[in-house]
Amino acid sequence: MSAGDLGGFSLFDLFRAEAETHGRSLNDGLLALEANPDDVVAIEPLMRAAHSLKGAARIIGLDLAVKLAHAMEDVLVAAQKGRERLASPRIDQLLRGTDLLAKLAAISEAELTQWNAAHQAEVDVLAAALAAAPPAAAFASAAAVPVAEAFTPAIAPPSLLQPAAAPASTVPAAAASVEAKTVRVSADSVDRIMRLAGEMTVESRRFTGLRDRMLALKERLLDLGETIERLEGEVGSHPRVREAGARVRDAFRDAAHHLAASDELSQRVEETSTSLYHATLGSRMRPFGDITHGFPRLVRDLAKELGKQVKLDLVGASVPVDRDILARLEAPLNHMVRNAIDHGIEMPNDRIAASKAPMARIAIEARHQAGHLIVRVSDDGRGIDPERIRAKVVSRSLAAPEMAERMSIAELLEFLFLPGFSTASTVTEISGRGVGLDVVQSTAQEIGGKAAIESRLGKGTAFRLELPLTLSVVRAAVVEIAGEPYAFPLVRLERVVRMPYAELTTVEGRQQFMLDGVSVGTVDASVLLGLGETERDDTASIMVVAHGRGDEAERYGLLVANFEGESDLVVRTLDARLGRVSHVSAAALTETGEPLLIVDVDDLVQSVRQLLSEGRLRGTSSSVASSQRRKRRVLVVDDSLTVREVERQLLTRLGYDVDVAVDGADGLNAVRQGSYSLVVSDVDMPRMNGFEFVAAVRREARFADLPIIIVSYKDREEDRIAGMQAGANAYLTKGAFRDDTFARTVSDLVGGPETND
Amino acid sequence: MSADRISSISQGGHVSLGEDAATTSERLRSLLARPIPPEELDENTRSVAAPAGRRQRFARPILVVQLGPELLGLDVGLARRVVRVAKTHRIPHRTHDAFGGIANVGGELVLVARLDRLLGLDHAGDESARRMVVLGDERRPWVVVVDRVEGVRRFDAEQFLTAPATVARALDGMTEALAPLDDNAFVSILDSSRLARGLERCLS
Repeated sequence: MSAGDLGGFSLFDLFRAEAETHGRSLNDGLLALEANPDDVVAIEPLMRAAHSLKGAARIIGLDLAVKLAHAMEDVLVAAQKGRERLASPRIDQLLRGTDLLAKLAAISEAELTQWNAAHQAEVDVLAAALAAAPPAAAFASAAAVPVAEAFTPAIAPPSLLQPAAAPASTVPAAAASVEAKTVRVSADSVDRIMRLAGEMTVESRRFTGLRDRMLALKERLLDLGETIERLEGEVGSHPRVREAGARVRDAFRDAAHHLAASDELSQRVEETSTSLYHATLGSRMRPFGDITHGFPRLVRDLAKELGKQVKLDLVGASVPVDRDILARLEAPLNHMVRNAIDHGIEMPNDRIAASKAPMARIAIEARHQAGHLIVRVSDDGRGIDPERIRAKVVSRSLAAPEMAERMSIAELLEFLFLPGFSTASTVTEISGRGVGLDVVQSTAQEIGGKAAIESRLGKGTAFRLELPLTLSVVRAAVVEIAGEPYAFPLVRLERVVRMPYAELTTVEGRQQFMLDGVSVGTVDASVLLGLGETERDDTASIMVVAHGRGDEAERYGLLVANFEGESDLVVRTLDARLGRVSHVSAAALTETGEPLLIVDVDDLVQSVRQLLSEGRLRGTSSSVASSQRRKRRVLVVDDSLTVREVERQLLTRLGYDVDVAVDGADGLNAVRQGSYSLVVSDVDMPRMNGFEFVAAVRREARFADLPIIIVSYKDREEDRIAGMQAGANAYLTKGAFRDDTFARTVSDLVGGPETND
Repeated sequence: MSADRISSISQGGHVSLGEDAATTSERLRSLLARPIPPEELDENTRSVAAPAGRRQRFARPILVVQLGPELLGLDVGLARRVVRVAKTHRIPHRTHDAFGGIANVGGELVLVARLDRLLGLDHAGDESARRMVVLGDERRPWVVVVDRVEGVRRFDAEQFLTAPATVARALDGMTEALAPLDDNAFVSILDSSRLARGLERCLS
């Protein structure tokens, strides 16, 4: 088998792409054919699809696939020529073949040999069955579950988000022609083009600066012209002066002319680069139908298995959706549909008894609404009984009975999103234990949207997802923290508050302010990010974030240096070599092309809660106390608990703030994270000894002047020399604790325990 | 290696030790305009007759940059691009001394390393002369800020001097060799793989 390189795609990649496309049209076409077996015209595209697949498989030497596609093609040819009528069992066989080919397309090239071995027998049996006479249509009538697809015409998308493909047409058979208009491009190169387009937009804005300088030049020429005119008046009309005047006026006219031309050019470049940027952004969009094409089949198979009758309506297959969102949406959508068939829809007899049509209806709809993507999965089944939820809420002690009694239907339905909260009394194969609705909600939240349930007992249930149109652009509050730009996504912000510092009051010395009658404590964002304290001017800019929802939520006010404004940011992932960066979710560029970091608000809030509970963080205190008198911090590094405690107590008694580390490596970490006025270290320690530790600290330029005292049992002269050579400021033996040597050395090196910095 | 040898080779007419392209082409023109002396013919014959590998070594292209008081040489295979200095954004909680953060280099966010701190040098000179040098392959690039870019020069690897033992033996030493210039100056040629390792260490 050859794997020639074709512009980054191997031959197998190309086969895979083809198998995906043709597999989809086979699947859709076979389902349509099952609903309408006499539509001979519909057979032809299927025949062609099987034929193309056979050809593609032959080129790369996939003999199994050739055999299978060939057998399928034969059956379809026979059907087209009228030699065979395609009944449901035959369609089942063809669908099985389609599935096998789809599975083959999903594996990696390396797994091919193994796959061939594992599926040889299965393909042989299926190919033989396809070659044999059609199976008896034993339960043909029961199996005739018509599945219709109703695509509405394309909903006009906002101009920014042109769909990559032409709107899907109304018949599945035409799917192939729609696919033909799309090309496969690696996601990486689209991302790269988008970054370059973004850079282009930034660069084009530089024209404005250039224009201003040219304008200044024009003014200077005008000035010069006037000077010469005045000169002419003073010295009389000298021909040389007149000539100079004329030349300056010429130059001025030329400059004005060029300026106008460059103005027009810069405007055009800016417009074009903006369109380029939006067009590239739009190319990330895929039609919603990309993930729903499997659903008619899913619904058919599940309904058949459960003995239910279900009709699926798909609306908005052509609605453009960001490919990243689309990828995340497939699993929850699948879950909601399975859930609807399994739990929502009644058996045909029950439906008749409830005076409903025996044929149930499930609708999957997608549309754009007010800058959001709305996805709705609804059924006309039995609905959810709110009283059963209420009873369960009480029996699970999720709320007190009297509180549960007052809950509205909407509030009760919210409980279905709780992990493990299930109203299904039986465990089924189809939708598992009925859990997983929590996944629907968490997925929606992860991509910056929300999920809701509506239900009417006896009438049906609907899940509604409200999602952002794209993950690649996020609307955010751009702020300054420690002199650098950061952004808080607006969906994660409760409020942005700007108020005079003087209006912040304190509780236990920690600053707070009142927001809608709720006290919100403030925390310095810069400190959380390990970037030191925020410098304060007159106005406090505070990002209000919440942990939890509704009235139960805990609110925190994150203090930043400045709030710059709102902006649409194009999200870029951080370099993979950085790994997971705490408190940061991604990067972006500011309008001037400067990098900024997008804050992971959830992670930040988690840290705040954690640090508060460990006593390692106080809220911001009133500025006077905090910035003018602060205790100096000392780091004690020693592997012996006893020595550590002795030193800690001694230093605390002297009035210092003390942190401890258990060995050199731990100490080095601590030194890098915290701002210490002094380090006290032992010598003999595991992992990294004291000499190594001191030397490592000294290697970092910013710690060149950090006072370090080594305290050791080793009192030989060579140990002392080694310690001083490593970079310690003082070398004491542990006897120093018996008199005031230690205390004196500390105070000599750093001064008193309090600082005015 | 003696100074005589250096000068004899540089007079040989086919090697440029610290010469820029303009002087070289000028010299070539003047060479063509006069009869070739027999010694030079011999020298050139030897050079052309030398095995290919040997001849390639004669002209190793090196990007020469200034950082603080020192001239550094970066293999052009490693130093891919020189760009204007872009603003560096720190990464919270990444406190390695030699790690700078990220910068926007031609629309890509690239990791920034502090070459000055990796080498224990201090930036000096006019800030407007500073440039960023993009290092490493396209998938894992780094940028470092240097004080000035001198340009690409071709060095005769045979003339390289070994680095002092205090650097060569040092755990974090990065200099592969010293390329002598005229007037007692030299360029410290940085070893590409040791530099790459140093850069990776910034992420720890």
